[in-house]
Order: sequence, then structure tokens, then C-alpha cells
Amino acid sequence: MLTIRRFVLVACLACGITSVAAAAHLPDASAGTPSDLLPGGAAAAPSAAASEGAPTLEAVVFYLFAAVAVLSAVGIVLTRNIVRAAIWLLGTLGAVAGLYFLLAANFLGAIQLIVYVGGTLVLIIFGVMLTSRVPGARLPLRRWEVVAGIAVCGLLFAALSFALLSADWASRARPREEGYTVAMIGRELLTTYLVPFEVASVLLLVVMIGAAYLARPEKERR
Amino acid sequence: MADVRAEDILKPRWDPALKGRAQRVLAVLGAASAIVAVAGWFIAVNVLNGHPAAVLFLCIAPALTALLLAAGIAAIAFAGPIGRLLSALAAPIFFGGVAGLIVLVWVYGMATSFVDGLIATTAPAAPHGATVFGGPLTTQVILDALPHPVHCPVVSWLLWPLQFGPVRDVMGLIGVIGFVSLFAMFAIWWERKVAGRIQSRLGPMRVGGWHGWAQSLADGIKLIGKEDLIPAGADRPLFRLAPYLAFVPALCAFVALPFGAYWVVRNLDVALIFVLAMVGVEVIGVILGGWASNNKWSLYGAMREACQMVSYEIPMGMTLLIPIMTVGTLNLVQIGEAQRDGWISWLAFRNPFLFVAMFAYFIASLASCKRAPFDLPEAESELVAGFMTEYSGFRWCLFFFAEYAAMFVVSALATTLFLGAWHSPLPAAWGKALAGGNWLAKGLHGLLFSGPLWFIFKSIFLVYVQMWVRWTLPRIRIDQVLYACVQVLLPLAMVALLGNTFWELLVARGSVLAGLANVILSLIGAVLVLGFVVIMVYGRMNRRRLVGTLAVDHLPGA
Repeated sequence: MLTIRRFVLVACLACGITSVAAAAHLPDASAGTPSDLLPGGAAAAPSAAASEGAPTLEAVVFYLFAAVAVLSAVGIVLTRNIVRAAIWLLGTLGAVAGLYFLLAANFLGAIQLIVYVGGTLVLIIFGVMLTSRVPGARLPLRRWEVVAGIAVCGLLFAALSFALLSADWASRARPREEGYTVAMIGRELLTTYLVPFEVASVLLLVVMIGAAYLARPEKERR
Repeated sequence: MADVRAEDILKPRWDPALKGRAQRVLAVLGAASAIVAVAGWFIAVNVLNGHPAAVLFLCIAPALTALLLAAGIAAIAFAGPIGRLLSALAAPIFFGGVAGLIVLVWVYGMATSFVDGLIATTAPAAPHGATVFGGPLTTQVILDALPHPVHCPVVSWLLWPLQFGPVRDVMGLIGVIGFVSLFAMFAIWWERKVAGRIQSRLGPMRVGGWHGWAQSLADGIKLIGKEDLIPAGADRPLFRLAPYLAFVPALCAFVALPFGAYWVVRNLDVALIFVLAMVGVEVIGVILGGWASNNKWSLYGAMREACQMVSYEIPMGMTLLIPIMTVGTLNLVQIGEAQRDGWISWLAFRNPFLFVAMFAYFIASLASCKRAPFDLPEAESELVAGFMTEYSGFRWCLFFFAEYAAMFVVSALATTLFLGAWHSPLPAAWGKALAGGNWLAKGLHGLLFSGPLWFIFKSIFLVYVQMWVRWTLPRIRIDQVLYACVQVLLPLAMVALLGNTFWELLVARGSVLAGLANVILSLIGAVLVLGFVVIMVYGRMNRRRLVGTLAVDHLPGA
């Protein structure tokens, strides 16, 4: 159980930190656009509106989703009730999906919803309900677990911060490509990225067979 | 016991003091709105230079409120005659209401397309100065373009906001929420009627006059008035949150559902995955409600729901992949447009594997919206009401709304992916002359060839089939549910998926084999539908005989 909780904690912190870091790099709508963050002429919509002084709807929605993601992540860490932690996770995962939609990555957003919110989260709640003897069992935390958790999170935070701060945003920023659709992603997966795709599917198959093997009825006892 | 007649029950009874107080309150509010409207008119015209938003919010909105309140006063004053009139004209009111709603939505559609046309023709250099929001159209431009019968300033002020995207989004959301609420109310009433007929009884017959059509309305008022109970041992925040977690995703799914080629709030390129995700997220509300109630029955219901949903998502997703493979897109609008050439082009009849996939999907969808024979999460004979045991009042109502909304969503997916979406069985090519005509021809085209009405009709028919199955088949055990999923539906879906892959690869479009399969499957489908119609007409003609000794003549509206 603790493994799940720690996994959840780390995942959420990662999501939350990433969003905060990304928020720090978002061109601040009210303060004017730092020219090095945006290539000239590209991503024209936010910068054009930013020059008028009012925050764009896009920025408002972004901060809303980022806030929900971060606050939910904090909620997961602070609650001791494991089912509530799972529900806070719902907030983080949903808000991150919202961020994907905001970035016009519709496919990624929908997949985030169907895999993490509709699948993984349901499985986590299901597992929690199956395994906790008393509903809403409180989780005892040992000291070394807290220390280890903080250490892992700190490392992750450092790595992500380093990656975000050292990234060359100016050359990588590109305007939204409306044409970048599911069909293109599918074609890429089956041509350029065929090997990773196949490796991942074989891995999943192995996991499935392993799970079926572990869950099978034992013949000796019958 | 006093002899109570139907008319006595239908007659409204008012406490005179209450009546007077209600009228006085309405009169004060109405007068205030009227004063605000007049003052708002002066402010909007003199201070704000006739800004359209100011006119809308300060003058037109209060004026409409005042009119509504005046109508309310009149309704209270003449409650008796109005009640008699309502019960006498129940059936016309019901059907008139349905037709009126359709006309209302149609008028809104014409208004938006009118504004779109105007934006396209007006030069982008139109003066921006008159509007703070900077839309391309001013009220004067709209007024000048309005055709003769509606050429008046009020209409131009009402049309002015439609040029803004967010306003249209809000209107779309209002439409979605309105549709879901009305559909849920209709479906609950209809389910009770279907159940009644299948069990040789009548179902609700009294409220509203004509076949008890207002029963859901009365139920809704009752439910809102009920005590809102939260068990002492419940997890209060989660208990309160759960109904919304069930209802909101079901609403969100409607945002991506295309009711017609242009009748979609958001035309997503991943609409299918989005809708499936929303159906999947809805489960969390149910599980949470069951867990937070702190009740064994609720928890059992929630466990069953989780178990069932996780396993049935797989065959459901797999069967949906099959039409996707044939069409080659996840965009529901494009999938719908691929089936425009009439009955024979509907995806279910393209090849045998698609035909099988349709039935497999329908069975999986029954499980995913917990309808019998898969209604184990509720299982009223074993678990009282399953996950809803501890819920009452409005929260309970939300769970029901979520369930019926989900029923419509899965049926709408089946309609879009297998049964020709918003197209009628007639090929679209025959209706080309009508589509380009005047508003009457366009309306006729909507009725005969393609339009939201066809989409809603087909989806509601599938919802009806769900009800039919529910009241015909017994509930199965949880191990049978899982057996049916893992050992029957899943292999079936896999075989259909593989078969369709090979069919797409090996059988050329337009070849003899493809044509033959298409024609044979279309004929089978036609025979099924004709058989249904014949049995329905037979049942209708012999309804007195079929209900046996049940006396129906003394009941209102029978």
C-alpha cells in the first residue's frame, strides 16, 4: 500500500513541479512579453493580446489548471486518508489533461484522461478498497520513509528545474500546429518510432502474462 | 372513503393567503425590473452611447424578467382555468412543447448561420469603435442586413452577442445541460412506461393528463424538496462530491458528441477517445459514492461497479476500434459524414465483422452504464440500491441524471459509429436540391435526409432497446458478468478486430465480395427493422387483447 502511496506522491509532485516551472516560463501577459521567449511573429495570439495589457483568456485558464494541479498535489501529500489521496490525484491528473488541451495537444489530453483518470485511478481506488481492511485506514509513516520521500522529491525537483532552466526555449518554441493530428501521431509511431513502440507493447504483454500467471488458481490445492 | 375523481386530483388548490402573498412578491419584483429596464434604457442610450451589451443587460434582460413575472402573477390569478385547460389539452401541450423546442433550436441555428454569413461578407475593417469587445459586427450592420419580417432593433441587439466565440460556447453548454436534463426526465418517464407495458400494466397515468407525461417533473419537485441526508459515519466531503463526479463527466461527453454535421459544441479530432474517457471517468463518482457512504451495501455496489467497468472497457474500446479502422479517423463528424450515402453505406453493414462488432459494442455498453442484465452495482433485490443506498433528494437525482445521460452517450456513440449518425436511410445525393433551397426546403431536408432529429431519434431508439433488454432479461451473477466479458465478448471483439483488419487489407473497396456482403448485411438489417415495425403495429392494433383483463378505459388519457 505504501508503495502505491509513494508512487502517487512522487508522480503528483512531479506533475505539480513541472506545471509550476512551466508557469514560471509562460510569457507574463500583464508585464509584457520577454522577446527571447517567443520567436518573432510566431505564437502571435498571446503576445498580441498581451500588448493591450489585459491577461488573455488562455493565460487565465492556464493559471487555473496549474493551480488546481499544484494544490491537488499538495493535497495528496498532506492527507493521510488513502481514498482522499486518490481523489486529490484525480484533480492533478485532470488539470494536467486540461493543460494538454490548452496546448492544443488534444490527443495527449484525451489519452491522459482515458488512461490515467479512467483507468489507472479507478484501478488504484479499486485496489485501495480491496486491500485496506478498515475503510479509510490511516497510513502510518515511518521516519526513514519521510526522509527517503523528501530525498527522492528533492532530486526530482533539482533534475526538472535544471532541465527547464537550461532548455533553449527560444529556438524550440513553435507556433501551434493545427494539423498535428492523431493520424500523424499514428504514422510516426509505426514508422519512425516503430522499435520503441513494439518494445513497449512487448513489455506490456509480458506484464499481462506475468499477472495472469500470478493470479491463476494453484492446481495442487484443488 | 370519499369518491375521488381524476379531475379533483388534477385541480390545483391554493391557500388564498399564500396566493396573495406570492402575487404581491411577484408584483414588487416585476415593478422593480420594469423600473430597472426603463432606467437602463436611458443609461444605455444617453451615457453609454447605445452600446449593445449595455442595452442587452440593462434594458432587454430586465424587461424580459418583468414580462415573465407579470405572466407569473397572471398564472397564479387564473390558476383554476389554466389547470383545467392544461389537463384538457395535455397531449397537444406535450407534443407542442417538443415541437416548440425543436423550432427554438432551429431558430438559434438559423441565427448563428446568419451571423456567420454576415461576418464572412462584412469587411474586417468594419468600425471597431462602437464596441468595447471589438467584435466585427455592430448592431447597425446587423439591423441593415436583417430580412423584412424580423427587421427590428430588438432582434439586432439579441443577435449581436452571437458573433463572439465565448458567447456561443456558453449557449452550447446551456443547450447541452438543457438537453441532458430534458432527456433524463423524458427517459425516466419513458422507462416507467416501457416497464409498465412489458409487465402488462400502464405505468404513470395521472400527472399532466396525457399518459402521465409530467410524472418526472412532479418527481423532480418532490426530490428537490426531500431531506438531504448524510449518514453519520460517512466521509462527508467525498459523499457530497461523488454525485458531481458522476454527473459532470457525463455532461462533458455531450460537448464532443455531434448531433449533426454542424451541430457540435466542440469538433474535436479525438472526439471518440474523449467521449470514452468521459464514460470511464464517470465510474469514479459511483465508486466514490459507494465508498463514502460507509455502508456495506454501498461498498459492495461500488466494488462491483469498479470490477465491471474495468473489464468491460476493454471489449468496448476494441469494438469501437473496428469502425475507426474502416473510416480512418477519430473525429466523430468525419465518421458521420462517411455514412452519408444512405442505408447501405452505414458502417454496420459494410462487412460482417462490423456487423458483429455493433452487437458486441451494444452488450459492452450495457455493462458500462450499469443497465440490466449488468445492473449489479444497484441490484435492488440484493443490495437495496447498491452505491445509491444512502443518497436522497437532489444528490440521488444527480446519480440518475448521470445514468440516463450515460445511456444516451453510449447509444449516440453506437449511432455515430455504426448506424449512420445523423443521416436518414435515404442517400444524401437525393436531397441536394432541398439542401440548397429556402428555409422550408431546408427544414424538409432536415426531416427527410439528415439532421439532429435523426441522430436523436436513432439514439433514443437504442436507449429504448436498452430499456427493453432491462425489463426482459434477469440480472446475472458477478462471476457470470466477468465470464461473459473475458471469455465471450473479449474473444469476439478480438476476432472481429482481426477479421476487419484482414478484410480491409484483402477485400478491395468496390469488389464483388465487398458489394455482396454489403447488400446482404443491409438486407438483414432492413429485415430486422421491418420485423420490429410489424410487431409494433401488431401490438398496437391488438393492445386491448394483449393487456388481458386490465381495464384501461376509466383512466385519464387512456
